[in-house]
Amino acid sequence: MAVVGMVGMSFVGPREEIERVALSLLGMENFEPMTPEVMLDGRPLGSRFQTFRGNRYDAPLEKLDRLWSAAKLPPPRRPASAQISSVPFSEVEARVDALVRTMDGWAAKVRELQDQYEVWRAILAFGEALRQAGREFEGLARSFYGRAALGILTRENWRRLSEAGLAAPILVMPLIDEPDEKTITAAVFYGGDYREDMEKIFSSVHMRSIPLKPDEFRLYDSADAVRYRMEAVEADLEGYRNMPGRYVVESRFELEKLYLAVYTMQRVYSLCQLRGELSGMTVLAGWVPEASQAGAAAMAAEKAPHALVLTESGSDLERRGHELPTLLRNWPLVRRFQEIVRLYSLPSYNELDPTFVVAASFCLFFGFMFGDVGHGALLVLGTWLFEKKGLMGREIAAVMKVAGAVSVLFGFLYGSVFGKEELIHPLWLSPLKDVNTILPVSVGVGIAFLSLGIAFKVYNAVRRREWGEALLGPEGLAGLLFYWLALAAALAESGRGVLMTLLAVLFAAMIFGNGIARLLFHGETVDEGGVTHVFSIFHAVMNFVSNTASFVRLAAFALNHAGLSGAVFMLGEMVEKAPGGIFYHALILLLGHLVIVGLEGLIVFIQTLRLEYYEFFGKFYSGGGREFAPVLWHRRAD
Amino acid sequence: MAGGGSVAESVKARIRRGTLIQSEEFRLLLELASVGEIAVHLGKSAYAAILKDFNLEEMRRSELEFLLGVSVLAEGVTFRHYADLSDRKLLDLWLESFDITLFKNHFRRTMGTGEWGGHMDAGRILGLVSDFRLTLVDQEKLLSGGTLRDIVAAVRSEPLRAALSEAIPSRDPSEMSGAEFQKTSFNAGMILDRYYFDNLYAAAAALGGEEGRMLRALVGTRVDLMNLYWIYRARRFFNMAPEEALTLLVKARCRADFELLTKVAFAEPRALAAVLRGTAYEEIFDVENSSDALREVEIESRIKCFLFAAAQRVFLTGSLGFQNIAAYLTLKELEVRDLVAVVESVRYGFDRSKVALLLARPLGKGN
Repeated sequence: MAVVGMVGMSFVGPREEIERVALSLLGMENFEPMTPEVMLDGRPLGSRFQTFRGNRYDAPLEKLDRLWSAAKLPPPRRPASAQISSVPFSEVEARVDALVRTMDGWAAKVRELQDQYEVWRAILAFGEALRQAGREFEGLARSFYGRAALGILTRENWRRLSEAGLAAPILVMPLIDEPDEKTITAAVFYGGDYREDMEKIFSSVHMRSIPLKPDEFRLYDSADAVRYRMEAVEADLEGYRNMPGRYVVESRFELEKLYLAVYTMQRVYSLCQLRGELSGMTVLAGWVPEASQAGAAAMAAEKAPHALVLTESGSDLERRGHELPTLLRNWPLVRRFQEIVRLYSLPSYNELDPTFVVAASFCLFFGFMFGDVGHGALLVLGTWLFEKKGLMGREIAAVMKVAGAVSVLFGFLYGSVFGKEELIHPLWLSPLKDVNTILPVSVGVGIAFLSLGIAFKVYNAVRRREWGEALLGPEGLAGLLFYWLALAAALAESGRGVLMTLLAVLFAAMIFGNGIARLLFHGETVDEGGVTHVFSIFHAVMNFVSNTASFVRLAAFALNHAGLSGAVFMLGEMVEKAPGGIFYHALILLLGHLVIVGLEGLIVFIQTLRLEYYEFFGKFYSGGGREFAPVLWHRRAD
Repeated sequence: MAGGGSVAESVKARIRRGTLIQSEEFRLLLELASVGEIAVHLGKSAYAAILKDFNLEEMRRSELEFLLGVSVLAEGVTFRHYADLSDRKLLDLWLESFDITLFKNHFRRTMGTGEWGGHMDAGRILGLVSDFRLTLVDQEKLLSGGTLRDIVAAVRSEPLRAALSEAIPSRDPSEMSGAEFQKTSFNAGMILDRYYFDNLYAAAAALGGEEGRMLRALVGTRVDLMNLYWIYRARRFFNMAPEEALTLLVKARCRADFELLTKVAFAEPRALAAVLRGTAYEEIFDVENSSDALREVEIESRIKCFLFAAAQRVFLTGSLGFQNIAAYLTLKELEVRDLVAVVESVRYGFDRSKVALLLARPLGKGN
C-alpha cells in the first residue's frame, strides 16, 4: 500500500552478454530503461562514452506485421521466452526487404486490377444508361458534335463539377452513386470543340478519367460481354488478394521462424533503446523495483559472467536531482481505485500513496449518497453489460462495480429497495425519516476526512523536514487543533471562554508562524510576503468552514435519492387509471429507475470525486509523478 | 442568453480592441528610419509580450514579420481561457488557419520549393505560443513526416486527407517538373483553404441568434471576397477558362451567390466592376484608373478595408458572443498585415505616402 522503492541498475559488458541480460529482463517485466548518463554522471568518461537511441528492428518487424495483416492472419504466437537471434541484422533486413518487394508487387497488381474493375463497372453502368435512353456506344463514335467522357471523382469534387456544369456547356450525370462509397462515377457530355477546356476542368476537379476505346464500342454495347470481363477481372483480383495468405500458409515454418527472431530482437532492443557504449562494452541502465534487484543481479551473474553490475539506491539518485518513476503497490481490491488517483495525478516518487484511503472513502461516500439495494444491483448489472459491450473501460468498470456493491450494502442499512423503504427493515436508519441523524453523521464524516487530509499534510511536511509547516502551518498541527477547537467551541455549552482564548493563541501562532519557524528551525525558507501570508491564513480558516459544509451533500444526496424514487412511483400511480394505464405505469417505472441509476448515479459519482479531489487531495496532495513503464515481452499494442 | 464565457470573452475582445494601433501611431511608424526603430517602438505597445526576449534594435525584417504574425496566434490562444466549450471549439476552428499555414510550410519544404509563410517555422511558433495545440493535424506526425504522403497522413480529417491525397502525384517530388511542383502546391493550398472556410462558415451557420448572424456576415464576407478575388486572379494571371475558375471556389456563399460568381467568371477581368455594380462589392474591383502595376495592390488594399469595416461593425452593437473574438482577431490580423506593409516600405524604401493609402485603415481618408 505504497509507492514502491526503486533502484538504478547498470549492466556493463560485451554486447552478446548484455543482449542475453536484456532478454531475461524482458521476462521479468520490471525494468524501465534510462539513459546510462544518469548512472554514470560524475564519472570521468570523456569521449570514450557514446550513447545510442532507437531500435533498428522496428522497421523489419513493422514490415512483417504488414505481411501478416495482408494475409488476414494473426501474427505468430510468441512464446513466453525466446533465444537471441544469431542471424546478423543485415541478413534479417535483406530477407524482410525481399518479402516486402514481393508483397508490393501483389499490392500493385491488386490496384491495377481494381482500376480495371472500376473501368468495366463504369462502362456497364454507362451502357445501361445509354440503352435506357435508346442509344448505344457505337452511336457515340459516329456523333460529329457530341463527346462523352467517364470518370471517377470524390463527392466533394463531384459537387464542384456539377456546379461548373451549371455554367459550362456540358452535361454531367452520375452513373454510380452508392452512399457507402467515397467516390462517384460520372459521365460528362460536351461538344467536340470544348474538349480542351473540358480537360482543364477535369484536371481541376481531379477526375480520374476512364478511357473509352472506340474500337471496343461494339464490345461495350453487349452488357453480357462487359459482365464477363468484370467477372474475369474479379477472379484475378480475388487471386491476387489471397496471394499473401497463401504465401504465408505455404511458407509458414520459415516465416514464423523469421518473425520470432525479429520480434525477439525488437523487444531486446526496445529494452536497450537507451544503451551506451564504453570502450567496446555495452552499457544498459534502468530502473528496477527494490524487491527485484537481487533477482536481476543473480540473473546477470548467470547470463553475463563477464559483465559488471552497478547498483545505486533510488534515494541517492533522487538526491542528485533525477526524477524517479512511480509504481504503486496495493491489495487487489484497493488496486482498482488507483485509477481514481491516476485520474487526478499519480503520486510523485517520495509522496504518500493515498489509494487505500481513496478506496475506503469512495465506497463510503458513494454508498452514503446512493444507498439502494435495487439501484445498486442495477448499477452493477449495467456496468457489467457496458464493459462486455466495450462501452466502458475495464478500470473504471471495476470501480463502478464496487460502487454498485457498496450501494447495495447501504441499501440494506437504509432499508431501501428501488426507493421503497417499506419492503425491508433498515439495519441503521431511513434517510427520509431520520434526517436529524443523517445530517450530523454526514458532517461528522466530513470532519474526520478533512482531519485525515491535514494529518497527511503534516506527515508529508515532517518527511520533508519542514517543521514550521508541520507544526505552525494553517494546514499543519496548529491548523488541525484550531479546526477541532473551533468545532468544540461551536458545540460547547460551557467553557467557551477558554476555548476562544486557545483559538486566539493558535490563530496568532499561525499568523506569526513564519517568524517563529525562522527562529526555531534555522534555514527553513519562507517564500511568502507578510500580507500574502495573513490572507492565506484567513483563506485556510474559511476553507475549514466551507470544506466541512461541503459534506452536507452526503446527507442531501441520500435524501434526494429517496425523494426522486418516490416521485417516480407517484408519477406511475398517476397514470395507472388512464386507458392503458398499467402499460404506462410500468413504462414510467422502468424509465424512471433507469434515469435514477444512469443520471443520479453519474451525479453521485462526480460528487464523490469532488469530495476526494477537492476536499481531501486539496489538503495534502501534489501528484505529478511519472508512471513506471517497464519494457514488456509483449508490445503494448498487442 | 449569453453564458459567463460569452460575457468574459466579449469584454476581453472589446478591451483588446482598445489596444490596436491607431492612425497617429501608424503615421509615426511610417516616419521611422529603420526596421530596428519600428521593432523598438512596437516593443512598447501591445506587441511587447511577443517581442520581449529579442534584441529589437538589431532586428531583421523577416524576424519582425514572423513575430508579428505569431502575435495574432498568441492573442487568439489567450481567449481559450475565457471561452466556454462551444466557443472554444469555434476558436480552435478559427485558429486552424495557423495549422494550415504550418502544414503548407512543411509541405513546400518537403517538396523542396521553399516556405509558404516566410519563416513560419512550426517548431519556433509552438515554442513561442506554448498553449497552442494543432487540431487539424497531428503535430508529431507532421513534423516528423519526411515525404508528402507522410505529412498528408498527419491530417486528422478523413475527407481533407482524401482530397489532398487525390491532388498529390504518387511519385517523388524529385521526379516532378517545375510546372508540376507549382500545380501540386497550388492544388494543395486551394484544398486546404476551401476546407478551412467551408468548415468555419458551416460552424457559423449552425449558430443561432445575433451571434450566428454576425459571425456568418463576418466569415461570409471574407469567403465572398476570396471567391471573387480567386476568380479574378485565375482569369487574369492563370488564363483559366471561366468554368475552370468556378471549380476553384469555396462552397460557402454569403452575398455573392453562384449566379453572381458565374457572371464574374464569364466577364473580362477588367469589366468586373460593371458586373458587380449594385452589389456590396461594387467598389473593390473598380480600379480602372490605377496603373497596371498597382492594380492588384489596390484591390488587395480595398479587400482589407472592406474586411476592416465588416469587423468594426460587429463592435457597433453591444451583442455578446464569439463574433467579438472573431472580429477582434480579424482586426488584429489586418493590423499585422498593415504593419508588415509599413516594415517593408521602410526596409525597401517604398514611397511611404502611397503605402499610407494602402492600409486597412487608409491614413489619407480623414484618419
